[in-house]
Amino acid sequence: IPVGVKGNLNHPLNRGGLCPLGQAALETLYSPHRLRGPLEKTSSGEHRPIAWEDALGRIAEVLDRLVSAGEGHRIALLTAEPSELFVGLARYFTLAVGSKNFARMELEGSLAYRLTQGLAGPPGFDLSRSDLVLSFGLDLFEDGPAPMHAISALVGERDNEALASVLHVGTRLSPSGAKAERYVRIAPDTHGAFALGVANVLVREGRIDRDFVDRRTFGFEDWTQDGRRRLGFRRLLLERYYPDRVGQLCGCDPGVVVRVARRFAQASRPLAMSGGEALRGPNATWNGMAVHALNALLGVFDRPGGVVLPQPIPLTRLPEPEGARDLPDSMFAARPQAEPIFGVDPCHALVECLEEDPESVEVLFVAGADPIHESPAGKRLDEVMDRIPMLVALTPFLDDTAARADLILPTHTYLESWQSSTTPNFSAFSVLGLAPPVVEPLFDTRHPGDVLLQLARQATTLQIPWTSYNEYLKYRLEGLAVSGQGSILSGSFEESWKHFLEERGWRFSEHAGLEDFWDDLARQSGWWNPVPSPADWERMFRHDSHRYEFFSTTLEKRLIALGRKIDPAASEAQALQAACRQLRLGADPDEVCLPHFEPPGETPEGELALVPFRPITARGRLGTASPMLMEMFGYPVLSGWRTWAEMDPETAHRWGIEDGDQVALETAEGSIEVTVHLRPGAAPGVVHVPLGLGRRSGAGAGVGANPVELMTPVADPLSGRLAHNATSVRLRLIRRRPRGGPAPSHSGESI
Amino acid sequence: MSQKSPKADTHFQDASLLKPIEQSGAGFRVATSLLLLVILTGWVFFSRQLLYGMGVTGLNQPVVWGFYIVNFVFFIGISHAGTLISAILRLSKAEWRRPITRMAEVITVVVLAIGAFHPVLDLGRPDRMFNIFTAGRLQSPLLWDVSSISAYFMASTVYLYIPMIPDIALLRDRGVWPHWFYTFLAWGWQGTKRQRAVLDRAVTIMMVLVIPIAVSVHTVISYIFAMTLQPGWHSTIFGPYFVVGAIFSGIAALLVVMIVLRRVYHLERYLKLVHFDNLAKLLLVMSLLWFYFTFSEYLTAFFGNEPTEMRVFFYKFSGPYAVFYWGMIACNFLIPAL
Amino acid sequence: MSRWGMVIDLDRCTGCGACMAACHQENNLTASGAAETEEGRGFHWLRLYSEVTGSGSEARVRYLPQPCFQCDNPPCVRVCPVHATYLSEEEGIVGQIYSRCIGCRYCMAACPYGAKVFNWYEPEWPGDLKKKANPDVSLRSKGVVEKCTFCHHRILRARETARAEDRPLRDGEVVPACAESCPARAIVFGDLDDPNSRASRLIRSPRVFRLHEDLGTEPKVYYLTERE
Ligand SMILES: Nc1nc2c(c(=O)[nH]1)N[C@H]1C(S)=C(S)[C@@H](COP(=O)(O)OP(=O)(O)OC[C@H]3O[C@@H](n4cnc5c(=O)[nH]c(N)nc54)[C@H](O)[C@@H]3O)O[C@H]1N2
Ligand SMILES: Nc1nc2c(c(=O)[nH]1)N[C@H]1C(S)=C(S)[C@@H](COP(=O)(O)OP(=O)(O)OC[C@H]3O[C@@H](n4cnc5c(=O)[nH]c(N)nc54)[C@H](O)[C@@H]3O)O[C@H]1N2
Ligand code: SF4
Ligand code: SF4
Ligand code: SF4
Ligand code: SF4
Ligand code: SF4
Ligand SMILES: [Mo]
Repeated sequence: IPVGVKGNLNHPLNRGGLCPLGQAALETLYSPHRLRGPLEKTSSGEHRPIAWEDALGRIAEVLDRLVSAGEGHRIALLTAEPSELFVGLARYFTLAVGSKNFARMELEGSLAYRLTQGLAGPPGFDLSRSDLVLSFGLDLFEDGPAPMHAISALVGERDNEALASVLHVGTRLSPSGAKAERYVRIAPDTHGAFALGVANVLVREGRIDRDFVDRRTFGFEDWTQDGRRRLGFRRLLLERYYPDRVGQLCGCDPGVVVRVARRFAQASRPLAMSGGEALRGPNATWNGMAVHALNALLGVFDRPGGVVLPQPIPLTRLPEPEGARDLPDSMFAARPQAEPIFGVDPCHALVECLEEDPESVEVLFVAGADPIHESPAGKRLDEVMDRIPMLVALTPFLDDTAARADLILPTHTYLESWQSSTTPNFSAFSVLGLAPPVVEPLFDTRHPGDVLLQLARQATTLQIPWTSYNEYLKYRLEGLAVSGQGSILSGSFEESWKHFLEERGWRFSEHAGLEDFWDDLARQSGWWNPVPSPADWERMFRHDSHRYEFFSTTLEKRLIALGRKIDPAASEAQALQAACRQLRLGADPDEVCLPHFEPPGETPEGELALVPFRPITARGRLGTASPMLMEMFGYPVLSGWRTWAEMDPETAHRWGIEDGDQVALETAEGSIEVTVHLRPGAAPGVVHVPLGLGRRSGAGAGVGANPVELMTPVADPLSGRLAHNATSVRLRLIRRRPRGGPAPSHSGESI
Repeated sequence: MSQKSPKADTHFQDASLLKPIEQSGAGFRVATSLLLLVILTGWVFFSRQLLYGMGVTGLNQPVVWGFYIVNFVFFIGISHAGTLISAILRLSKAEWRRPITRMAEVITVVVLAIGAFHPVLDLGRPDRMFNIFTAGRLQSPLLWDVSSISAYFMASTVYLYIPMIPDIALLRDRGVWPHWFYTFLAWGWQGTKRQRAVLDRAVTIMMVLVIPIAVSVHTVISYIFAMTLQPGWHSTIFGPYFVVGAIFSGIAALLVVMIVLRRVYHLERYLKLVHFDNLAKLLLVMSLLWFYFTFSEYLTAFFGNEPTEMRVFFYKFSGPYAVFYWGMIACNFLIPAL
Repeated sequence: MSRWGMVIDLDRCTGCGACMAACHQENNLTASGAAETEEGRGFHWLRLYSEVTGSGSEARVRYLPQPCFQCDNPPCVRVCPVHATYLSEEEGIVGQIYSRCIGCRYCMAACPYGAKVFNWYEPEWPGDLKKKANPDVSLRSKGVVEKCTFCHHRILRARETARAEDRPLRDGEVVPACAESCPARAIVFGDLDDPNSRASRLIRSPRVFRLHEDLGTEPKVYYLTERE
């Protein structure tokens, strides 16, 4: 019986640091909220136990029927499992049943990197060697892709003299903002504007890497195309984003824009990164483009402490199931010539499909995701879920989505199963984690991968080459074993050793075979390749131009396609115009393809802008199952087991609200009750609410409130992702802080 | 009320004083049952506390002491009514004291017992209470308290008992039930000259002894608080401040009891207005003294202007505890002074 | 004989809460639950305060992880009526004897740092949670006071190892759970009697301060910071 979980000192990502969620591993394992065996919904809506074989049999029967009728496309699978390896299998499974309806619920937007660099996801940012990170809304230390890595890379691994500086631009004095050398407070969703202001100063003061900009970028200067003069990034910046205007847009002092720009340019290895709230508004993609443009202006690509590409992990490529090519388009895929033009939010898509055609989905698998709780479209989804005859939830805990499911298939928690993880977003090196189970499963649970494979075996119509998830994993890792790249994590983790390896190249110890490799990998719990891809501009910038595109030709093409759908005879320029009108964009067509500031919706008089955030205690979906995480949920404001709201004291004062007051936040969509904590540094007119609590069913049911319930689903017109901060709320005092009640948050007082 | 004992009339002129002891009316029974009921409820709730834990008391993290300890201080304070006042009055030979002293002494003993019980109720582990004796640390102010309160309890019981011996003998002689009880307590009192001399002497000794003990008790109680480093507690004025407060509340309690007894048992002949008048004067003096100490306490805090002290200060003056604080000022100073 | 001390570098601490959680898991703390937390009885040995100074865009936050300070002159020890909390000679740690504590909470009232917590109820281990209890750390019952022990059990274990290998304890060999989990390497633990330990060297830094030094409690938890 395990009685402790410790960080792995040798692990290159966290170097022994283990965030609260990691610490809660045993609490989630032994949680009283665990599902103990499969459940099926009865006609009265209750759940009752069912044997695995019966449950799988019920599903397999339906799969067989659909597959043999050629209606596999009425099967869909939605997952939020982070492991690429599981995702690969899930996608393969979906294709094998004859459907392309596979989607991951992802929070962070990566469209900006696709438009500028042609990448499918974010590149690597070499945090550990950067000396200044200009962060736009990215709460690297609690809500980034790997917070423990960020802390270790920017703080933990360094001497005090060499601590990296962070400049944080955002609406909330988050832990990342707190650690920053400077916190720049701006209005919500104006991160892009601020970045453009910084860019303006860099360009005006000649602080850019002219050589890089000339040789490796596209769209900086104006150019002529078919006799038309096209707008270049430089002119756009100089004409539109001078500090005074940016100060006005962002509600900050224009002098700050200049000072931040100079500080940024003077650093020897600066990095600009965006994330979190900056990418959760309706103008997210442009915000991301604007921030990334700063990296391009300083030419920080492919160099230590800069933007790099980790080597891909040489896993065995998955074969394509038979006939997968000829399947109908995915319901989750972007429809060319429709808006949003690059993608759709999977939940939103599901709702639309079910509303259009109630029979469009016969079986929906939801694996390790709780869309009803997490998605701004969750409420609508909840309303149409009934139309799906077989909703199958794979989860270790009951949650809001599972509560609606016809079959609940309980899965292992991570200590009970083989765990695999792959390079997290932003990582400068590639890393694969593999960990064997630590305990025998406590209950009648299975690995979600095994569930899919067992289904495939039970269904007579399906052919999947692997019989167990382990077999599948070994198949995928074979590629890694024979590649001779990278290294299994080992030995003491000295800095010198790492640098030695990086300088000297790298040698991989030989293994007797796959089994030997597998054992070694599992024993050391991972593999990594610290060496980024060598300078290879074709990999770094994957558009045809092989340049960093300030002006996104990809975006332009899609816009033209959309415009031509409206008026097939239109010229390119006309089509662009039409598309922009259709998308209700304020900027002119050339501007739209450049990083620019697309104003977010106004907050009506008498309302507050809602900006949700994810505290580190709400990482992952298992948090509510751990009493400890609930108890320390709001530890920065000394509260637990409840959802709070942060407001700047001045804003609160204007609303007649005091620290500790209980208030209702209300929108047309719903109303939640929260406790106000005054936090100086919050942007004026903004109320920040933590995500994570307020489940209606299962673990943590009834504790705290869910700000997602307040949101109107508004999509980013490009990526289609639903905005988190597009909602304004009314605030109503419910009751004052009880006199002599628990101490309010510490603000401005020494202890 | 109804019958008159002929024996009483002939033998003893102040029979009305003995009446409540000799007969108990319906009112007495009702009152006793009511009080028993209150005690029973108390036990029910206390068993809940034993069963589930201290949590049921509603105390919490910064406020680790509350109701019980406040009651403790309060009751011990009132107990000063008693012995201390009667001793001072006896010593100063204030003749008007006679009808009051006994009452005051009874208050002391009874209330002291109540008060001393409260810290036990306040223990997270009352089952381990005797650790105080087996593993006691005399360095702890709590132990000082245990010692001084036990001493005070002994002294005031003795002090109540000794002057009462002749009166008990009277009850014995009148054959009041339970006879054996009074016989035992009367200790062979015959009212001889020698007995009287011994008794007087004993009373005088106790009188002198009980004053420093009483003062020490409340000083020590204040030390429980003052010996910590808590802002608002850590102050030298606490000793005298508590003593004054105790005497102040003691007199008030005495007055209340006097009023009640006078009304219920029709003792107008014994408790005269002069008693009330004199006690009221004493009360006023105490009120002024109390205010003087309060003023001194807060002035130093205010003038020193230490951040932590000031936080406590403002909690009381304008923060969540302002209502209670100003209520205290009003009841303890403004209203009596006016 | 050691005088264990802790140095927490506030310039490094990011307020991630890992230390708080690690302490919970290591030392068998139980959650007090929603209603209890609402009452101000949240249960933590290590609390993480955030101090906000300034206002508007000038606002700054500093996180302050606060375990028991293991005062060399501990006011909590002086008031205990039954010797249930004491300053250990060998380790310089302020210990709690759960089986002797009578729950008077005097030590809580006496601690100027609010470092102690009281078991207002019997600790709850819902479901199978008790299975994960760390066998090195005893469980507490209702009605007693507890607090950070500087992970005393880890010190004992390290001493045993050293003794078995017949060598003195090395600096850096004892790592409390909170320090171990800290990704920012903000917590350094060591023997303050050893002038060469990392902790001893750090407390000679000009950035050092302790909370409420004026009280004379002589805390053995030192903070480092550039700011103030
Ligand atoms: N930790 C650890 N250290 C080891 C070993 C180990 O197993 N583990 N093995 C040891 C052994 S056995 C050996 S042989 C050494 C090997 O150590 P090194 O001799 O350093 O060998 P490599 O790292 O393979 O290559 C050295 C450099 O030569 C470059 N190079 C490649 N081809 C050419 C060429 O044609 N011309 C020139 N000029 N340069 C070229 C490579 O790009 C690389 O930068 O390492 C030793 N060190
Ligand atoms: N991909 C890749 N392949 C390479 C190279 C490269 O850089 N990259 N470098 C090449 C070069 S230069 C070399 S020298 C070879 C080295 O290739 P190998 O000789 O295969 O070297 P190792 O894998 O380092 O070690 C061989 C085995 O010796 C065992 N061993 C260690 N100590 C002892 C001992 O005292 N006694 C015995 N009996 N066994 C022991 C180890 O556990 C290990 O299993 O690799 C060559 N192959
Ligand atoms: S961030 Fe994720 S991977 Fe890292 S310690 Fe926390 S739970 Fe583990
Ligand atoms: S673990 Fe380290 S960085 Fe995180 S809060 Fe604790 S001391 Fe600060
Ligand atoms: S911090 Fe408090 S509990 Fe810890 S030793 Fe000091 S006084 Fe005692
Ligand atoms: S609560 Fe326990 S440890 Fe604290 S003073 Fe009382 S007996 Fe001692
Ligand atoms: S030293 Fe140990 S007991 Fe103390 S706070 Fe750290 S983890 Fe908790
Ligand atoms: Mo070699």
